[in-house]
Amino acid sequence: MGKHESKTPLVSSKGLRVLSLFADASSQELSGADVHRLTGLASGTLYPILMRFEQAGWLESRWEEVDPRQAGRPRKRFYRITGSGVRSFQELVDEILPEVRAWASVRL
Amino acid sequence: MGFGEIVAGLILGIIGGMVANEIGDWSNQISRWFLWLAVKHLSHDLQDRYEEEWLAYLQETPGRLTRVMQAAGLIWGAIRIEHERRMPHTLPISAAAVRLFDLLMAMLMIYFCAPIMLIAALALLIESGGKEPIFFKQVRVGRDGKHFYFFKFRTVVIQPGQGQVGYEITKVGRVIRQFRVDELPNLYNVLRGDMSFVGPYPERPSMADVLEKKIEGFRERYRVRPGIISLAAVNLHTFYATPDLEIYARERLRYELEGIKNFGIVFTIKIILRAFVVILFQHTKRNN
Repeated sequence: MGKHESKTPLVSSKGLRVLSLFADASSQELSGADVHRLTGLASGTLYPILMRFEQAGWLESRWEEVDPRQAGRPRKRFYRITGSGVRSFQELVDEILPEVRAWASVRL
Repeated sequence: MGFGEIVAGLILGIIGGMVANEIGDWSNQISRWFLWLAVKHLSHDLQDRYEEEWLAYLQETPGRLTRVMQAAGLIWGAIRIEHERRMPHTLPISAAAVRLFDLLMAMLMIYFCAPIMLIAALALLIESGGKEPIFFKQVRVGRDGKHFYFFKFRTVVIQPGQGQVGYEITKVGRVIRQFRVDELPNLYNVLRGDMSFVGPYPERPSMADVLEKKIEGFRERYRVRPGIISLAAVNLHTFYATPDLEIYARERLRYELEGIKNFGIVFTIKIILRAFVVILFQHTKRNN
């Protein structure tokens, strides 16, 4: 137990929203609350997605550099997209976009 | 505006302020409680990280009501995170559904069986003249291989001297066992989250050590909570007579792994119904 197959995770539309946010803000670090604010995803959905992507190596995270005792508040955890995350996002978009276009053209 | 109205307005304002403060404080308490519940659903190696991370998350969330809702959402989030780590190929909703079912059923059963448990406890107390404990607790191996105390009514005589359990069943014990009332304290284990209604049999640590070494895949059982109703007991009642514990454990493991693969609310209910049929219509021997 405890070992995880590093298979590519399934990406839901919500997951795609999170990934695109990080891809846009590339190299910028966001806390969970930032992601919540920018995507509108609730905590119960957001954190499993962050965990899944981090486990897949698409995101990495670190603690805020603050002594929680001195600051009198808990440290935030910042997330950032990795190179592999950017590539995977690009692949996903390349895969999905033609299908979306085809679907949209039929609809219109 | 009359003087009376001004006074009334002031008083109402003060009371309103007090109530608002109280609610504000309460919303914090509730959020903290939800957060604690959420973190408790995570496995040990994740608890510290997410406790701090989520506390910071909640502090960053503006608005009392939003904060409480987000905190409640974290419970769902924690269940999903845990489930994903354990069983990436099944739906997280099934883990939540099983836990919810366990909680509700345990509460209902405790409510309805309280009189029976009270009578059993009194009978045991009277039988031993208050010299021996009513409950019997034993260390068992649970989810993730974590140890927990397994509670039952004591149905055997405790051997004098060392607190070892003997195998002489008392008179009251026999009646209690016949109607399976001795297993009711397990409901407390379900409430605590140590156990589920349906799951693999919780082994004693010494036995688990042996079986882990001898049987490949034995640790797979630790993916889920152990159950009051063993996944295998329903299928395997005829095997109880097998004197070779290892063969028995191997045979049992097959059913247990099958059950873990089908893990979910539908399977849980199916096993419970089947267990009722077995208990009501067939004679089963018990191995514990």
